[in-house]
Amino acid sequence: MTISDKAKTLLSEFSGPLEKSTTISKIWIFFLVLLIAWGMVGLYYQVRYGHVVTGMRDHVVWGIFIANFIFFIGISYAGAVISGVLHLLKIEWRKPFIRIAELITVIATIIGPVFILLCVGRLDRLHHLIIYPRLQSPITWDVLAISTYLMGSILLLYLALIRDFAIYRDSPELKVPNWQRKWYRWLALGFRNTPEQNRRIEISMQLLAIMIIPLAIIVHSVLSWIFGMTLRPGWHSTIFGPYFVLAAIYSGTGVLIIAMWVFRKIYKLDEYIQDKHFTYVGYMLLVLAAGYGYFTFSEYLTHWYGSEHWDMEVLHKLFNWEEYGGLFLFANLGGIVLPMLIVAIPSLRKPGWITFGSAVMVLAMWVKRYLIIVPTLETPLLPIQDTRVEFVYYSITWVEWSLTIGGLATFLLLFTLASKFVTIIPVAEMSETKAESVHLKMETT
Amino acid sequence: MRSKFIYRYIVLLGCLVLSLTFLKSQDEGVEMMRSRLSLTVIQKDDNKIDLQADFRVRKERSYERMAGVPVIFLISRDSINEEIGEALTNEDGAAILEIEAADWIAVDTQTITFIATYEGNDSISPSDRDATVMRANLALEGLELDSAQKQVQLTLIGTEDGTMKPVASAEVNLYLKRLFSNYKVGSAETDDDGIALVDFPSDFSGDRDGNLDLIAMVEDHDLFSTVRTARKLEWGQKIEEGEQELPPGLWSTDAPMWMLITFIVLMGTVWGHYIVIVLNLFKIKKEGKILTS
Repeated sequence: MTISDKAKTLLSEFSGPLEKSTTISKIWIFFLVLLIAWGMVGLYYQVRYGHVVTGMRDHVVWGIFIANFIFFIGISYAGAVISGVLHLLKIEWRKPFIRIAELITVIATIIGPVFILLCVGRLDRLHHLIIYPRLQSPITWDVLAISTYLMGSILLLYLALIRDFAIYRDSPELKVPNWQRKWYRWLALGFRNTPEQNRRIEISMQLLAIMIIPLAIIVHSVLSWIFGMTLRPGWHSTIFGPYFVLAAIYSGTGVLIIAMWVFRKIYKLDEYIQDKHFTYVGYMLLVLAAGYGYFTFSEYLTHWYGSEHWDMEVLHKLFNWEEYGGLFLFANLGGIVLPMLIVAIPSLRKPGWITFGSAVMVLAMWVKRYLIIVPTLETPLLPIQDTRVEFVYYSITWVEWSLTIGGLATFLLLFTLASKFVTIIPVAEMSETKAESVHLKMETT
Repeated sequence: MRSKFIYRYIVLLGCLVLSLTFLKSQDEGVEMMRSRLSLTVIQKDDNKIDLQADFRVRKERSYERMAGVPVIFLISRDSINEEIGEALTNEDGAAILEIEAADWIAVDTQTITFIATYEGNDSISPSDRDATVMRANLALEGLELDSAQKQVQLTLIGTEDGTMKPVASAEVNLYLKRLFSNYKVGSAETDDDGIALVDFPSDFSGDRDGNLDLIAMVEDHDLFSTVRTARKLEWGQKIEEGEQELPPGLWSTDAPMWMLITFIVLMGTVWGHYIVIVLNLFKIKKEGKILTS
C-alpha cells in the first residue's frame, strides 16, 4: 500500500510511544501493576471470607461497587455518543481526539461490569443469567444491553483502526518488534486502500455511528431502570432514564477532556490537540452541565414538593450536615456550578482550567452516584430489625477501596498499554485532506 | 561526631521508654466495666425448664447487651450449689439453658433455687443472680361453645404442701404466634379451680389448614416466675391457594408477549447489523488477499 507523505510525517511524529518505553512510563506501569496487585489482595479477602469484609449488609446491599459500575459505564459515553454524533455530523475538529474517546468507551465498558460481579454473592451461579434469563428483569436487560454495547464499541474502534494498522504494517520506518508488526499485519485484514475497501469501512462506520447512539441511550436507561423500577424512595422516578443518560454523557465528556489534556502534555500534541478543541468540548460541557443541573433540580424539587414520608427521609439525609450534607453540596457545586463557571468566564476558558473543572466534576459525579445508592438503601420501607450499626449505616471498607483503586488502575493501565500499541492520534484520518474525503465520497456514490 | 550519635540514641531510647511507660499506664488505667444479670425461669408444659439469664454490661451511662458471654447455671439444694450447665449469650444478650425438670427436681420439692453466674474477666466485673420458684404447670384447651363463639380454657396448677393444686388469682396471657412477634389475644385471672377463660375471635387467618399457634403464659409470677404452654388449634381461616388465572405479567414465569417481541426486534436489528459489519470485514480481508496474490 502506498502511504502518503502526510501520513508518513504524522506517523513519525506519533510513533515514539509505539517504538520505545521511557523510564517514566515503565515506572508508571509498574506503579499501576502494584495497585492492581493490591486490588487482588482485596479480591482474595472477599472471596476467602465472603462479602462480610465489605460494608454491604442485608439492607445496604449495594455500595461503592455499584457506584463504580455506573461511573465507568457513564464515562464510556465519551466515545459512544460523542464519537457517534461528531462522526455523523462530519465535524472536522473531532479527528485529533476521537481515538481517545473510542478507547475510553471500550476500556470503561470492560472494567465497569467487573464491579457488578464483585457485588454478586454467588458467582458460581452467574451462568444462570444466560441459562435461565428472566426477560422481565431489568438485570437481564442490563446484561444484554451492556454486552451488545460493548460489541458495538469494539467494532467501532476496530473499524477506525484498520487504516492505521495498514499504515503501521507498511511503514518500514516504524521500529517495532516483529511480534507487534505481525499483529498489525493480522489486524490490518489485508487493507490496501482500494476504493471498495474504503467504501466498506465507511458504510460500516456509518452504520455503527447511527446505531451506537440509541444503543448507548438504551444501556444507560436500562441501568437507571434497575433503580427506577423499584419502589424505593429516591429511586422510583420517571426521569431517572434521561437523567442517567445525560449524567453519563456529561461525565464521559469530563473524562475525555482530562485524557486529552494528559496525552497532549505527555506526548506533546499541542499542534494537534489545540486550545480550540478544549474550548469546543468545553462548550459541550457547559450545555451538558446546564441540562444535568436542570434534571437534578427537577428531581429533588418534585420529591420535596410531594413530601412523601420516605422521600423526605432520604432528602433529610442529603441535606443534613451530620449525614450526607457535605457530600451532597460538593456533588452539586463541583458537579454543576464549577464547570459552568469555568467555561462561562472567558478568562478561565483555558485548557488547564477546563481540565481542572472537568476533574472536579468527574469526582463529584462519582460522589453523586454514591449518593443515589447509599442514602436510599439506608432508608428501608420496613423497619430494620437488626440494629447493629453496620447494618443500619454503610461504610466503605479497605477491601472495597482496594478493589476500586485496583479497577481504576486497570483502566489506566489498559489505556497506557493501548497508547503503546496504537497511535493516540488517528494517523489515517488526520492525513486525509478534505479533498480526499470528497473524492472518496464521489467514488462510493 | 560519635558523641552526636550516642546523644541521638539516648534520646531515641528515652522516647521509647516514655512511650512504653505511657502505654503501660494506659493499660493500668482501664476501668472495670460493671455487669448485671437477671434470671427468668420458664416452666414449660413438656416438663422442661428454660433458664434464661439476661446479661448486660455498663458502657458509659447505660447497660448494653453483649453476645458470646459464658454464663454458668447452678441449682441450690440444701445449701449446696451444683452446676447444671453453661450457655453463651446470644446477640440479644440472653443465655438460655434448657433442662429436664425430672433430672434435677424431686416431685415433692417445695421450692427450687436456681443461680446464674458470670465469673468476670480482666475488663468486666463478675455478677450473679438467683431465682427461687415453685413448680407449676399450665394447660391450654380450646372450647367451642357454638359455631361462632370460641373460648380458650387455661388451667394453672402449682406446688402446695408437696402436691400440685389449682392456683387462684393468677393472671394468664394468651398470645397468637405471628411472623415477627406474638399477638396478644387477651388475658384473664384464674378462679379458685385455677381456670381462666379467654374469648377467642374467629376471624384470624391461619395457614392452609387453618392452624393457629397459641401460646399462654403466666409471666413474672412471685412464686412460679414464668409458666408457659403452647398448642396448635384448627381455629383460623384457611388460606385459599387455588390456581390464579392471571395473564402473563412481570410476576409470571414467562415474559409478556409485547416484551418478547420488542426484545427480539431490538436485538435482532442490532446484532443483524453487527453481522453485516463483520461480513464486510471478511470481504475486506478477501479483497486484500486477492490483491496481494
